[in-house]
Amino acid sequence: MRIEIPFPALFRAEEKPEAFRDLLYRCVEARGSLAVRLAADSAEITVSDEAVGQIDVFGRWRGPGLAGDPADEVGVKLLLPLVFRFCEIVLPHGQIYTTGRAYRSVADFFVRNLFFAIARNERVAFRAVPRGDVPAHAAAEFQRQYFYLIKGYFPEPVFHRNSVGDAMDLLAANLFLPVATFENPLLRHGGRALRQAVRAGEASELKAGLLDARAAMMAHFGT
Amino acid sequence: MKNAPFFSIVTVARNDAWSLMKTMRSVFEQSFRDFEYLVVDGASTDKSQRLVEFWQNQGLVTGAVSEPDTGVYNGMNKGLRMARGRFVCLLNASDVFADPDVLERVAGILTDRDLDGVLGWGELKDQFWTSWTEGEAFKLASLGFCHQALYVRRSLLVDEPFDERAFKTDSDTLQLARLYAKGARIAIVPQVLAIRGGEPGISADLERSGRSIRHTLVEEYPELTEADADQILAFRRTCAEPEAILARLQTAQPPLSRHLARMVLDTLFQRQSGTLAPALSARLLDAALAIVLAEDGGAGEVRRLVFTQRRRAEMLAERAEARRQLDYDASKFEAEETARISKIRGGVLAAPARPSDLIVSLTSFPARIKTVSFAIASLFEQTCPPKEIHLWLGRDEIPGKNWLPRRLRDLEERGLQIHFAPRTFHQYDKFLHNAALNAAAPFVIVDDDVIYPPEALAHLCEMHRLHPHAVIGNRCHSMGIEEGAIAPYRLWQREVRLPAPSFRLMPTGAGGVLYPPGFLSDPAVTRIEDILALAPYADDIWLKVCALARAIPTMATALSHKSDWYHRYTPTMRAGTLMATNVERGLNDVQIARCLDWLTRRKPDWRAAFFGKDLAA
Repeated sequence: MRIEIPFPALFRAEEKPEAFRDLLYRCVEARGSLAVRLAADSAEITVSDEAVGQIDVFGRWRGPGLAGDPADEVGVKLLLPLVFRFCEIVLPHGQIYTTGRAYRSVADFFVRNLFFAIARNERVAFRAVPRGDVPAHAAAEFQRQYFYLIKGYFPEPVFHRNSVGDAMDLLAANLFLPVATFENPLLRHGGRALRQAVRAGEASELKAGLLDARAAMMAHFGT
Repeated sequence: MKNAPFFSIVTVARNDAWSLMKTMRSVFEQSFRDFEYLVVDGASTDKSQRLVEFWQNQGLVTGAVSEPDTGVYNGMNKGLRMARGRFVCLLNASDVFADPDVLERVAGILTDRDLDGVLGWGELKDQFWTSWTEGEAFKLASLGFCHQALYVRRSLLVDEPFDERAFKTDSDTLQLARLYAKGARIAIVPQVLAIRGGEPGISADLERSGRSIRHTLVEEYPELTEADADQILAFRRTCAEPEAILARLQTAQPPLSRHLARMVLDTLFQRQSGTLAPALSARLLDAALAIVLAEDGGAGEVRRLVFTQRRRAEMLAERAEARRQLDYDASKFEAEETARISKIRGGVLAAPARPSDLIVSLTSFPARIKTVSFAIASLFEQTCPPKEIHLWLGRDEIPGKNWLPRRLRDLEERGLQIHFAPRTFHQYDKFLHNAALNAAAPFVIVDDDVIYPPEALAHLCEMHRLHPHAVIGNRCHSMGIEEGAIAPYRLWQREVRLPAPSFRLMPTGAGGVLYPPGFLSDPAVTRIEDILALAPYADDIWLKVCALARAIPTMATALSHKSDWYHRYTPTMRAGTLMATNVERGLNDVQIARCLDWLTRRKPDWRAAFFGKDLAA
């Protein structure tokens, strides 16, 4: 079962399609999983009857990439979606903690459950995909949903900057230097551990990372 | 003895008063206040000193010197010698901090990490300087960095001053390289910390900078001849002779090989590398990567390069997206405006046009240039059409007509006169260049982000007919009075109309302000030294005190009422607004106080009329 939602409607509760509820019922009934995948101007929601044991998040690192499972600590995991532009979330039925009320959008449903799962220290796998598979603008918007959520739960000054873009840039830069100071000990520890995880990455991945980054730059230049 | 401030911010300038304005405002806006601000002026003749005095009076500028120098590096060294702060940042005229929290952020990093300095990224017209290597390689082919985003311990800089020789254009990169060579711990903060001004720097002179870099290469690397230096420079600039550079990478000895490797890696992320054959760029990348990864800490540096270039690509994409979004918004707005205008033209009640002798003048700037045509088009649809409409732009911001959007150029056919001043005077461009036109005709100043209702000019004209000697405003504020003095600007009553002209009304440009013949053409109104010293950021305040100085009251039209005021703005309304600084940070009140001091000296009895029985009461 699948439905396609025009991209703007993904973020508007009042435009949540009726069919989404059917997919949700099906997922719970079959103890399967529900997935959202972003395209350039729409999102595809699918339900699978196959049981999966963890949340899978697909996208691209804003930083140099973290090798394997970067950490299993809540503090780190809470920050990961802020440095990872996600384009697909696969949500097992067991990690659906909120069903998304009438006043919450489809995007909110996925991101809020991701957030709750992370906060409960559930297993979440962040998987990098090729650059072209991530619609940049759409993914950035989706990521903002997570930002608004975490900002609501953690009243950190670093989250309350002039613009979301500013705050996100700061959090990305924080992978290298402690430019973002967290007041919450959990996040403060997470920020430190995340920097360690960046440093611990494999040198063998660097060339691939460089080629990928260069491809992005040359695409911008149109060459 | 007073403790040394945390930062010394040094601005070097010469004949650049109007660019200096935005630099100084940016320093003023910083949330972190433990700094001294020094201005090193190269004996400017454009009245820059008056602007420096303005900020000295507010306590922002704590040290200033104005005397001839031998160039920008001479001025920067002078600033270093004057500085007392623990860390120094050189923010030259026309450069600004990226946001109001930059100093606070940098101070936090420097304190937490006990560093000798930090180097951030810089931006110039949607291009980015994204430094990633922390080492001496900067001096090779002048690997670019944004010196406005560099904060270094003062003691280190004093020991390593800028090379002041006249032909040098890369003294900053050379200085940074030497600091690293001495073991200075200067960390890169992967974030835009500074925005460069629009003017090209001295390194934009390719011939001169080529000579300077060539000189550096030969002087710093004994194994390089001038021909070798030319080859490296040519690769850096145009990716010429890649095979030769590849061979050089494979045979050079450290430290040249290490620096070459970083130069090659950096160049592979520049536009010019798109001309390289894929196989060749792959070989160059492999060779350079092998050298860097073989070093201690090399992997970390490559990791930083990956991050840096990914972020740079993202930032470029975000800017491109913002431009596309603005184009989309402008097209949508154009459709709405076309419909509105055709409704006006087809309206049953549309009054026949009554041509006037009004001169209308406005200015704009890059962030609003795509939408200024909508504001101007609304002026062509007036029931009381103006005789002339003048748009003034600064050539330092917008080089010429080819840079203007089609929608705007099309308006020339309807009579719009577009002028370019050599440099922008910001909001003062509205009348500084053509004030003489006001000698015989009423002159209307308007804003570039407002859609004027069809009757806007008619209201001004009609009121001008009734009160020919008054300043007429479609949107006026009532200057509040508190304990016998003028109240803070934020307490003034907005959008007020009174039954008769009043000294206490202040017209604001957004509604359109009509100045009676002879007002702006009075030389006192366009005295740049007074403007810079008293109200550099608020033309409406300046014009108001000029009116008070001549006992000219202001009359509000019927539009100046909260319920009637026409709030329709172009899509770029929020771009470049001074509202946050002028109102929220109290800069308007500072300018009002300065202007009133001036007014008191010029017209000691103004208070009697102002605070006495109001004409409109």
